[in-house]
Amino acid sequence: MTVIIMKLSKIQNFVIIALVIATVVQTGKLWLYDNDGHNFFYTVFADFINDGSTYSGETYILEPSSIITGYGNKKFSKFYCESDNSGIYDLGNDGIKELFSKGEFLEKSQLDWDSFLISKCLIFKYSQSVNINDFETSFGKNKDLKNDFNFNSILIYPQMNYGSTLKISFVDLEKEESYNYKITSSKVSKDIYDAIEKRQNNEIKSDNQITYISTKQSGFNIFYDNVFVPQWTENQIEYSLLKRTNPFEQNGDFSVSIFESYIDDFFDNSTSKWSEVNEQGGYLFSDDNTVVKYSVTGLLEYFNYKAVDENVEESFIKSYSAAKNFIKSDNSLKTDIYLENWYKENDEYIFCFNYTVNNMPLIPSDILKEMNNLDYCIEISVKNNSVRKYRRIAYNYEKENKTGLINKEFIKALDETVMINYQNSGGSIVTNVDDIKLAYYMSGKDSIKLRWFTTINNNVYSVSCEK
Amino acid sequence: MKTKIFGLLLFLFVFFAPTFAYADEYSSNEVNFSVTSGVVIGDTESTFDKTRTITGWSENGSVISISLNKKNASGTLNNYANYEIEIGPTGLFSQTVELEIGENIIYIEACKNGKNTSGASCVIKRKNRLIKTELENGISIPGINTMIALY
Repeated sequence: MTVIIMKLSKIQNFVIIALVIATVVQTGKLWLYDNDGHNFFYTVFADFINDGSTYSGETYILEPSSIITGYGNKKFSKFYCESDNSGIYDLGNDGIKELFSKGEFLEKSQLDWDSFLISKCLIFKYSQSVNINDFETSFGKNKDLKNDFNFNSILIYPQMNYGSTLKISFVDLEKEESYNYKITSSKVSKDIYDAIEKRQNNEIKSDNQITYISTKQSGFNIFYDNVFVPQWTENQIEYSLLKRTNPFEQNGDFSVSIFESYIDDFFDNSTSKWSEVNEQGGYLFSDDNTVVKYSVTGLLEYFNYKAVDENVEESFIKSYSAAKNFIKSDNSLKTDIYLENWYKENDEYIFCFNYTVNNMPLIPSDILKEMNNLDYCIEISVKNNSVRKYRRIAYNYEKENKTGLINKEFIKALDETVMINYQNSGGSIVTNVDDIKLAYYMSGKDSIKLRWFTTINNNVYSVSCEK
Repeated sequence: MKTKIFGLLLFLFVFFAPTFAYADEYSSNEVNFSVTSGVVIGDTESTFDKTRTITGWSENGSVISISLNKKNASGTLNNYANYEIEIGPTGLFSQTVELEIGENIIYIEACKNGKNTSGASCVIKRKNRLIKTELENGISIPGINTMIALY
């Protein structure tokens, strides 16, 4: 009996000690959450408490700006990662992962788009040059690839049989060369082939009016890059217009409570924040380190003023992963996005995303850009793997019941743009076009329409898609 | 003396007098155009695809006409589709055409005011896509007439 009482007494002591420790920790987090120097247990708990200011979680694979499936008959299909329901993007990444595990280097060759696009293939296009070693780290691999190079596109060539060879080419557009690899007895080669076939068959059955062609394969050398442009057979085709919705509105009016419910996740301790309304009617919520603002122009902003940990090992992929993870936590964002651009400025990585709906990109109007001082739908700054700034056009976009017409194909749009450029530039002749695409123009109007966007010498021109 | 002067004048006339040549006499003056993709001029090819995109370039201000035809039972050419593309300052053209099952005879012409029309043709035989599916799903064993289906 005495032994039992002694054992119970010991258990009681352990429970009391555990409760005391828990109380200290909880009090420290509630009142002293960022004042580590005041936390008596900092040196003990520092490794266990993640205050969330420096990202150290899941590594994200750098996503392409667009994905193209080639059917081997000079016809292509173009779409975006987040709108891929077929799983083909994941299969492509599985193939790349196989390369980083057991791939063999074949050769470096000159860029020849005709031979590159002649077979069924899956293409990942990136908006900027990517270093292969940086890219490999996002797969958690460290294989010696025998080469150090940059690339703009990845071309994956599957075959139809089980255990067949998978070939992957990394294309460097600036140097006009490619690095070619193969994976013998690939586990995903047939799956990728079948996925491309299935996509092609579905498009044929659905009577999809829009198909894509390659400018290089078509002999249009006025284009610097290999651009995939939409084409159709009929004189005109119908498409869905878009409408925008404000996730913070209820019955047409801005709702502070709805806004607050979305932004609480941006704060370490949402109960300690304070708010104010500015002169323009915008809302601001803040605590000692975080500021979240909403302006009447429809701009959502987040600023992180916590001290940056300069000892953190920074990398492009870790910064990208921090950005992607942060965007994932924004529950008010319901529209699919794609990575349009990135650059480094003042020791910060800036990642720029645009929205996509109906397999078409959305581009902010000039007025929207000027009002919000934003060139893209989302701009996110990361320093030492910590998100410092997040700015996005707060609206969500979706298809509406109305339709519009496209009856101007891309060459007519290009001809118009060339004339505009000729007039604006005092008579200079265009010899090089960077890009041309159909995109929704995010004007302030309710029904958002498609327009042609052509980039010449980094200047973007926009013309109507209707004659 | 007179003969020498006459000979000198003749020499000067033959070698130094301006010569006028009219362009029509020495060049075809046809519209300059080229098909860069989609069809091979003068060739016959087969496809399972319902459409084909024909691309190329031509002179600014010219018009490209694409006509699609099929021969009927009596061998007469029946036109079933026509496309016209006006060429702008880039000089490029791209047109997606719909093919019918069977032999499609395609004529491509480029014309421009003040110039002779130039043209070219090709043939595309479109086969039913069901045949492609059957070929992919079945195997043929030499010596056996029946195709064995893989299901």
